[in-house]
Amino acid sequence: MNIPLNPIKYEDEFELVAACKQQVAVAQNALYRRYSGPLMILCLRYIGNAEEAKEVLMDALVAAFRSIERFEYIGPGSLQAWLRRLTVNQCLMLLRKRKLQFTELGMQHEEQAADAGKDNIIAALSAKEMMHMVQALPPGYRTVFNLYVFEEMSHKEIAELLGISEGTAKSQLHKARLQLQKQMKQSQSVGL
Amino acid sequence: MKELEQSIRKHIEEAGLAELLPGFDTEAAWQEIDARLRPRSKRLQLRPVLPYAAILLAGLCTACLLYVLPGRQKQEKLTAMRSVRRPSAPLLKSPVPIAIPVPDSSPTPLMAAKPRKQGSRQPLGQQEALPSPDPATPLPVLQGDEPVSPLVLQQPPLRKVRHYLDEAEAEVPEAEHTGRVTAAQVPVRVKHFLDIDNENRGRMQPEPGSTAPMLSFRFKLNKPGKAGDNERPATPPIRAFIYSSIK
Repeated sequence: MNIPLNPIKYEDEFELVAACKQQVAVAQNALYRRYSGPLMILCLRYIGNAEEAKEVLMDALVAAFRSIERFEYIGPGSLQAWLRRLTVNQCLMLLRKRKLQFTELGMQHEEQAADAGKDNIIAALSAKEMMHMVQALPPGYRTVFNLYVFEEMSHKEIAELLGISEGTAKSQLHKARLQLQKQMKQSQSVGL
Repeated sequence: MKELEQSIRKHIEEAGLAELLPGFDTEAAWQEIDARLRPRSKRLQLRPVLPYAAILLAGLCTACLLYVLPGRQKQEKLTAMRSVRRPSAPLLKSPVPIAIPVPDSSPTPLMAAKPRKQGSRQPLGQQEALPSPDPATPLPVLQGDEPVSPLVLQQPPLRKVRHYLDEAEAEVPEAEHTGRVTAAQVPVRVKHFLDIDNENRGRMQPEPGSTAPMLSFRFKLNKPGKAGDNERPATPPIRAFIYSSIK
């Protein structure tokens, strides 16, 4: 198989993966240029700090380039999904090093959350403001929220991944929602 | 609640990195990733420098050798010159009383020296040692070829001793009045007796009844420029041998 040296020619993911498996620098650069943006945003959601997120992104991509031989391309989107999973794992590794803690939630908060869900206050917020809100969540809430909302994991999967109970995962998600709604209300009131 | 979450997800995922993090340097991050992926690249950067470094190192080594070796040679020359410049006594070619030991055979050939007749001259190998000079009786004198200056004649008479090994030669000043040479009067340093050029030809095996091995051994120990050469007078065994040969 002829491997093109021009990164523009790596439009096909299959070709890109094949070239990256042969450690072609141009292909690796093409992959980086294509996926570094979304992966950096992912890191920002989990980590919060931009410098640390950048370090995690680089660790994840280096790990990806080194282990891409084990990746099997099964269709469009599979490469991105694989990279996302790898980056999420890298983020969770860093959070585990920081001894991620999960706190339980009382009943009073659940009632408040049920009330808060009725409000639709997100229309006026920009993506950057939303990102700041997510980043402002405590690490435990933020991790569960990201896994549930963005990675579309179930509470059972989240519990297994983080080594916590399903109840804890649910409560963490609920508390994250509450805090997000609270922040949105505050930003709306400031904007008005 | 689901709507809120989906709205947040949509907003964030559709936004570009430039909007969310304007200061992110994509190229710098790639350079770091590339450097971590290819650590050999740094070695390759050093590769063109290696020949120059090798040449520089070789030049330094050569300069060091050129600097050190002449210094050593000079030091060795100085050692040799010192031994030449500091003879035990002024040399007299003629006239001079000579005591020459018999090369071998007798256990102490020089001790068995007999006074020989005046004017007669034996071959070098067969010459015998002269008796110790007596102030009352004039010493037997051998006539030489060259004239002797008055200054030289004022010096105390010398005994030119050549021991039978042939490698060493020494001039020992004779003591005044007594005619005997003692250790205090003759501080002879061993290296003055040593023929450095022919040192390796010295016999190390003892001859029956001879003190030569002891002498040779002492010469070896006190070779100039080596360990043990501390400018001290000859050791008592050597002095004893020399004095006995003079008598």
